[in-house]
Amino acid sequence: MSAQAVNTSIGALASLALLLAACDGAAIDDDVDEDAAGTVTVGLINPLTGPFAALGEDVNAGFEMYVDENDGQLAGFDVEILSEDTANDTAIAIEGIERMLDQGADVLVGFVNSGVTYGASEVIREEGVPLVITTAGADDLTQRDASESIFRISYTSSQDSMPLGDYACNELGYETISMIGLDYAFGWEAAGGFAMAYEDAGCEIVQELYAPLDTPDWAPFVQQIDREADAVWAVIAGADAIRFLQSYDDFGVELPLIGHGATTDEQVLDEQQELAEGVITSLHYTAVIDNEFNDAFREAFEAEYGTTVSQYSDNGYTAAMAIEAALEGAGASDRDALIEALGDIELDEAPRGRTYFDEYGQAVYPVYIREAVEQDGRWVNQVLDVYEDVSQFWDYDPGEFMSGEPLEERRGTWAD
Amino acid sequence: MGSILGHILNGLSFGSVLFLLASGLTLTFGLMRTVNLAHGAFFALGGYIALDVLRRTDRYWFSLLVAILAATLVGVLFERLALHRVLGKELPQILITVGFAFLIADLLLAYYGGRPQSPPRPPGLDGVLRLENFAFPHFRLALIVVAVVVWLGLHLLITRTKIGAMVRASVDDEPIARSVGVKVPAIFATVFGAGTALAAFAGVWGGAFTGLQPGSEWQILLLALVVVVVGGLGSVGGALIAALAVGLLDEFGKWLFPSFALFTLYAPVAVLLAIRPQGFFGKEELT
Repeated sequence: MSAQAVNTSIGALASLALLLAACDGAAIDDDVDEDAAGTVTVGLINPLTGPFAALGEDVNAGFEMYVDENDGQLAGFDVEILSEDTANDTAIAIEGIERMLDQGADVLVGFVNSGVTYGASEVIREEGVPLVITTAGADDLTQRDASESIFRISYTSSQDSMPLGDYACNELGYETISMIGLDYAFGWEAAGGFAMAYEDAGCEIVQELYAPLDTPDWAPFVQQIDREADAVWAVIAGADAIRFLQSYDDFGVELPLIGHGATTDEQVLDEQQELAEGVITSLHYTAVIDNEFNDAFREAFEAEYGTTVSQYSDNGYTAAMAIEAALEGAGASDRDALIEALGDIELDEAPRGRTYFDEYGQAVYPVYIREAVEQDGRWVNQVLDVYEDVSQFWDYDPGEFMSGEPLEERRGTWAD
Repeated sequence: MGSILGHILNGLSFGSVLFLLASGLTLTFGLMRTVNLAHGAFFALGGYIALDVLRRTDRYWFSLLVAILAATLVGVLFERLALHRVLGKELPQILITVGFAFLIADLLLAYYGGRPQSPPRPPGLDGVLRLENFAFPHFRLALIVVAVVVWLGLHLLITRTKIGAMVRASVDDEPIARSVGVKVPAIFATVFGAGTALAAFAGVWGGAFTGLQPGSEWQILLLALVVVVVGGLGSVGGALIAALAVGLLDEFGKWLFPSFALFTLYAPVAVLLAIRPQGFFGKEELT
């Protein structure tokens, strides 16, 4: 076999991937109750194949579970759920959205990859259909590029990092920190948020390391960590987070480890187990938040799906609550009424705690400082502390926050 | 000094993982001239089955055995029922193996879900070797040993045994091999089965290093292709040297030039192929 044939094989492989992904069909659920105030059609647009499938599945599962718990109705409206797979690809996502809009979708819920979200956001804005983002984190989706029809119930990349900047400096007393993260926009923004809050609290970032997504071997990076620092802060998600903690342990790095909540979230903690012991992270959710709404959500979800709840299933579940509140406020299910009403909602019974949207459409919610511990034979992120009403601007002025250089462009400047 | 030695050992252990990932592909690619782009899917199949059996029985070596046998069975059936019909035709092979890879990967996703998982390290290899200023995990040392053992086994099998001779004869001249009584279809099914067995083994041992998640099947295939192409198609020794060289280059690249980490794996490969398109030990294609 020649080199040319190898090239052909890789090309064929790529085109097949696209073709097969494009063939994934839509699922339609149409129970209609005659006594209802009307019908609201929700289009779920999440990755159900490809590397982010587990995130998309969790979001959809959370959303569907809330609707099922309410007997298929939200605020008296019958709910019709459509679902399309983004396959982590902008063109496929746009096709899926157009199919769902043709079928009368009143509101869209979803997105994991920020690049795909940006690619599809133009179509969404032109159509004037409200979108509730449930994972994609790019800061500017609800900052410099905010749109009145786009809301986000999940985090901006930097939002959940900033409280830990304050906590690490003032409560944990770490005066110098080495940061290590994944080398793409999410990692840069999350690290930027942490570094800004941490340095403004009077402490110092001494090192900034980044490794590519899907780094098969983390040893070369772990070995470069500055052992003179007081602690290490990490933002590493998915399978990379498992490999990172394994290398961190293997090579005997004894510095305390803290980080963004994605580094030990419930999707990877079951695999990390004792490797994650004592790691302190910040996030707007953890499976063990102690309130009756979260207890009910966790127990019902685990009974239904047999897996732990995660920030992603919470995002789906809370998105359904937000749409319910908007339908209640608007008394109608058309797009304009929903856009108008979504901005004014306030959720007091969300599993994560009080949640509402700021004027840019970004959720304001509590951020939990959590520590990974074993509890009754299970690994969980136990709550150490909580910051209520955390906005995407932390305690900075929104205008100043956005007039500065975007956080992702400040990559590499924090240790200077 | 400790740090240089540490980096060398690291590079060698990562190279060993690469060799394990690529060994099955070298076998089918090189010996059968068969493009098995489902290689990564067999890797994932082995890894997930082992994890599943392990969770049910809590017996590591038994799980490893079941995973290898199951993947081999699937591989042999696939070869007999589908791949054999397109022997020697590259494009149909590509389409069939890619299609099969999607099939396996989507079944795995549907059955095991998309959360990242990781087969555990073999029992007894969890420790860390600690010298004065130097720490190195036992598992990584073991990987280097296993890679050399696998290489030696394959090398002896192909060059020193009758089966190896029959395989080489079947590939070089099928009609003559048939005429002297070699059962060529059985030979091909055996080689393909051995290739999938190695892929499944890599899925369990290499999987403890790389982890398993949706998309692993293509990431692993890409890494394996790098090794096979750099080593020279069909050369098991070439694959070992290529894997170790790529592992070392990647390690030192990431240590010395961390901001170019994305390229340390592929840039040296591109340069090498520009200078020597047939790889380290590849023969010139006779066409």
